[in-house]
Amino acid sequence: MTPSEFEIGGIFVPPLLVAALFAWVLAWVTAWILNRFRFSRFFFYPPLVFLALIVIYTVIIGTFIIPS
Amino acid sequence: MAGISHLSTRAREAIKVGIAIVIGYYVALQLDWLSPTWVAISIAFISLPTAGQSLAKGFQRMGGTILAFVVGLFYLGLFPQDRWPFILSITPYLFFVAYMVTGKKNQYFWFVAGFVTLMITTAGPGSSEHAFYFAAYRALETMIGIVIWTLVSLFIWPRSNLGELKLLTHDLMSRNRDLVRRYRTRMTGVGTDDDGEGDEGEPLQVIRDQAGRLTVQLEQTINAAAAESYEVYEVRKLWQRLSALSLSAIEVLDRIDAGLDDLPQSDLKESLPKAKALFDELDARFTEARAVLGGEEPSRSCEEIPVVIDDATLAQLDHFRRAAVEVTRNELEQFDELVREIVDCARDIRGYQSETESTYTAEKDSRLFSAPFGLPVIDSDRVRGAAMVTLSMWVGYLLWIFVDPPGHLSWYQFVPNIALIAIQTPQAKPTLLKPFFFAYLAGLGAYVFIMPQLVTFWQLGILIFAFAFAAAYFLSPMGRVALFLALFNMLGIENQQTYDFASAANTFLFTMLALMVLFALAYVTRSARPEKAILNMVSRFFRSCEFLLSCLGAERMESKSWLDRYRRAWYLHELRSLPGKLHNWGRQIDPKKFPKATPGQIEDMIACFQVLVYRLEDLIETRQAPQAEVLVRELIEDVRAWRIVIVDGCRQFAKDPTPDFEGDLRDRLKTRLANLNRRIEETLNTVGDGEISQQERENFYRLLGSFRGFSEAALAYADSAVAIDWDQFREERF
Repeated sequence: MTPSEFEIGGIFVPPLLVAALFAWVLAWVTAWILNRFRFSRFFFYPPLVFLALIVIYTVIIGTFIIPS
Repeated sequence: MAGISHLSTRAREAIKVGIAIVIGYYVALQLDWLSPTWVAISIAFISLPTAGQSLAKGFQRMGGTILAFVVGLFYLGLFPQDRWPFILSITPYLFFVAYMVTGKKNQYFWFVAGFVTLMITTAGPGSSEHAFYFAAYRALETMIGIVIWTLVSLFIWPRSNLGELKLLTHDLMSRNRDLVRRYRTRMTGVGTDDDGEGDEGEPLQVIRDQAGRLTVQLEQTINAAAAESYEVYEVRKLWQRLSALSLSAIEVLDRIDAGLDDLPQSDLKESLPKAKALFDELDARFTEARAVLGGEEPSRSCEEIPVVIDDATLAQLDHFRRAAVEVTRNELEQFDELVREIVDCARDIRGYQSETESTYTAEKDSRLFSAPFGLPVIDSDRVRGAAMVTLSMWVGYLLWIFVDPPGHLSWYQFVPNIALIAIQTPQAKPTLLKPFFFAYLAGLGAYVFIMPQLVTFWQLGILIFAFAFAAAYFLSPMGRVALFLALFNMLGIENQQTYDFASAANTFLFTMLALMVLFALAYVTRSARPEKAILNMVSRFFRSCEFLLSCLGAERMESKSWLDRYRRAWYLHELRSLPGKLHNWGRQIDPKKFPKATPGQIEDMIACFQVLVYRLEDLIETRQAPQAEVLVRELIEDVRAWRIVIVDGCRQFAKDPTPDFEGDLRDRLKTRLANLNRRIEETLNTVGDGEISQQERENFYRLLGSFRGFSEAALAYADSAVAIDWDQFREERF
């Protein structure tokens, strides 16, 4: 089985970490859009929503785009 | 050479920092110390512009390191192989240190005591001998760092605090005198026939703010000057007293200012006929203090100008105006006393005999509202910050044990250390990630592309100098910290220099991940948005008002239980500290995003809070003064009715900064005050001569003035709060 780690100059980075970094960026963009169109007012506590978005994106990216 | 002499102060300071850090590395590498970086860290974080300031900070760093040395070894010795008892036992210590870091005194000492302890305890796992060497080298290298920076700042472009101290006191006394002149014009209508100094066109608020800033600078400079001059050190207590007296004088002027809106100038001018003479005397006293502090001999004695009230004029005013005049008189007397003390203090500093015995104490805490047994009053925001640091240590520790990501043991000490820095400015935007990312990227680039090309120390020295200069010259305080840390952590300078890209990349990755975790912790536990903090603080402010006002009732006022006394002290602390915190958070509101909450509107609102604090303090103080029994008996029901209205108002404001009942509150308060005025008139008409002493009458009017002042301030707040769009503040945003 070939290792699925990312290699950067001899450094192996786990796919889940890469997925989490992409998820962070995507969650940030989503939050910006929700703020821009004032949809964020419908949430009770946006910081928790932001955290939930990161988890959701990480799972989606980790499952379908960068599987371990 | 001509070019060098024209360098800006900032460039000179940056060059000095660069040179000192290069020397620090050179000494540590030559002597083959455990970690040459520690000397450099010490220099980087104590390098303030003047030698005295650095020395004062250096002493704090040394003290903090010694405490950390003892505490770190103590915890390691106590639980060398038990990770859970170890982390549990160090938690209260870190909590305490983090709480002290956000206090008013010796913050840097506590900061060092916190982060060095965490670093020393990370040296433990190998052996106890290693831990001791680690701690001992840390202390030694910190000390040498202080010595190197002191020598550099003494021999290269030295800057003395003595000159700065003289300049500051000159400016402060001038500004205080300008304030006196402004209030003379405002209260008596008489302009100034001054000597042409000072800008008459400057707004009063600008002069007041400058005086406040100068007082803060003076306090900082005193410690620095005392560290470099025995002449200042010997009388440092007097300098500190001068600074405290100046601060109190400004505060009393603020109180006078807050009361002036209630009184027409004509009332004041006629009822306080000697006000002009008093202000002339105060003006002369500040001029005298300035001259004495500047090195001249004393040329005049303080004249006694009693602040008398003209009874005939006073009798024509209604009772609330009489009360306002009485309050103003009382405050003028306080100010008179303070300025006299300032002149005496100036004489004492210069070695001349002062004229009177010193009696004024800056702190006028109310007896019944101080904590029992002198216990410290806990600040809830500082507790929150300390909890944040402790939580970050636990998260880092658990991540290391159960996940063990890149960085390993460093998770336990790096995350809380950055949290210790972050809690010192809770209102700062949480943008730590950006400066650290670019700083560490620069460090990674230098490590990969430049470091392997270097052969001699002098080549390395140029690289270190470039980093240190860039950090000190170009960057903001947080950017500076980031670039220094990048220099120390990414370059990993040692005598036996080896290069390992994996190690550098792991350090980079670890730092970014640690900052992300810290950001997530801070973000999830509390919204970083300033509007949320302001909403929360406004609510806390009115809750405190509500509680303290309800305490003014006889039953609760006389309660001697420890818990009641502590609660009163705690709410009073909340009340006093919140306007300052609101000021810091208010500046973070972006007027582009909140067009109906401009900085001016926010400042107006905070000014109302400050007036409310002053008036409530007056209420507490005058409520404790002896009152005429006959007045208390006759008016107690009316006063209680007023209190119920205002307590109810505060309760509503705590729930909603602009409740719909604002118009209703205004009507109810006006009715209550009118009733009170009528009842006072009736009562005083029925009271026989001699039933009320002069002192009781004065106390009564002061109490009445405080009632009215608080009511007016609450209504002024309602007016200022209406202008702000609170719905937008409440709207949830990411």
